[in-house]
Amino acid sequence: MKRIIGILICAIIIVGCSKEENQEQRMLTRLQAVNELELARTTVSKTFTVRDQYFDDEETESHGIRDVFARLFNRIEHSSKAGDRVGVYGVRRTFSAYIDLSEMTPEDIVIENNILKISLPPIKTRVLGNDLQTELFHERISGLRDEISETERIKMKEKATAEIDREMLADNSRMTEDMIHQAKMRIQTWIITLARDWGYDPEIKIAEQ
Amino acid sequence: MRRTLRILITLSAIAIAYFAYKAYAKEEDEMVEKRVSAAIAEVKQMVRLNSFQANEEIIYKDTIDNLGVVYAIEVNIRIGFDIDNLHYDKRGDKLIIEMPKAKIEKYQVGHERLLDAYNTTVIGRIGNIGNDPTPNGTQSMILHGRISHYIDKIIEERGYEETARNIAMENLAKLFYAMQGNVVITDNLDTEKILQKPTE
Repeated sequence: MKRIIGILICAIIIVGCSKEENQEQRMLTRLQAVNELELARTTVSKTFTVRDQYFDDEETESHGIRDVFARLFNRIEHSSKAGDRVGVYGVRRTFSAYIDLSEMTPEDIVIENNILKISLPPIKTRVLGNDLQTELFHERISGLRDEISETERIKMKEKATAEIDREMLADNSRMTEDMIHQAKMRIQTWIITLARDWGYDPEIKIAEQ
Repeated sequence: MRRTLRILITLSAIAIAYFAYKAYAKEEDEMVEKRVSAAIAEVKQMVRLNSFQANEEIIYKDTIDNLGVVYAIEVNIRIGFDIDNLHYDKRGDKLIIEMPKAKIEKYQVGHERLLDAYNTTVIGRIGNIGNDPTPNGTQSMILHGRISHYIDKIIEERGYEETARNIAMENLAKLFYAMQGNVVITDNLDTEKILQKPTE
């Protein structure tokens, strides 16, 4: 009799465990099928200008005696030139924050006492390469001034692109942190909704990149 | 007597069946209502979060009187959705939710920078030699008002609202696909342009 009861208890435990395992596997398959999920997007655009240094000096404050002399020289240089030479261009880059749920493994989903413990892969960022062209907004050359050369435009574009990358890809970039924060909140809401729909309380862990 | 009793029993059975059906139907309705409110709450939670932001340096080129001006304006844009006005429709066992209207938040960072100003009556190589004109107070005020409209136009032209909408809708479509209920997110309830469920 005791033997029969023992066998029955073991059977119940085995059936119970395999049911949870099946459930975990089903959830994993569903999540992996989602693949990549884009969670947030940020576009940054910068303008760059080709013009006399004098104009840039006018917009900023001088620092130190050497700067004052440099500005004076720039002013004299600008006044001595006959005509204007102004070019305004723009460059734009779009960054995306996403999660790839196909990277999840069976160890990432565990059900314990009606709690669904999910370990998510890291939120990744990437540059979307659909807007690398330079936009020409304005060009005005008058008097005896030289035309703006392609080399100058390329040089300024590289400078603006580097500035955007520095702002977005730096370790402590405020904009990137903000985008990743939004993405984390979104995926957490997403998983909480799903887990509740499946009848579980979620416990979510997102891996750091 | 027997006949009366039989009729009474039959009538009682019908009444019991009717009330049982009513109770069941009520429970069903309550369950559907519960599911609808849960789905609506989920959509609100998801779309409440911003999916798109932009940090833009916008170039504004205009003419006022005989003065041509080129300004650079730094603008931060965030696109969220109006979750207070969410429309939905129940069709059979399917719940169709319309993606709410976008809510655009934009704010200008600092003042606009004047990149170039020139007299438009003398153009070409001979124009504006030895002359750096600038807009006067009145002109600046008028231009400032125009710039605000221009920023709205640029946001529309660059399709940021659509981008935010697409990301939010894709997130929701994939969420509902992974869920058990039959919920669909649509762009417009009237035209029933329903976003297809993602394929496995």
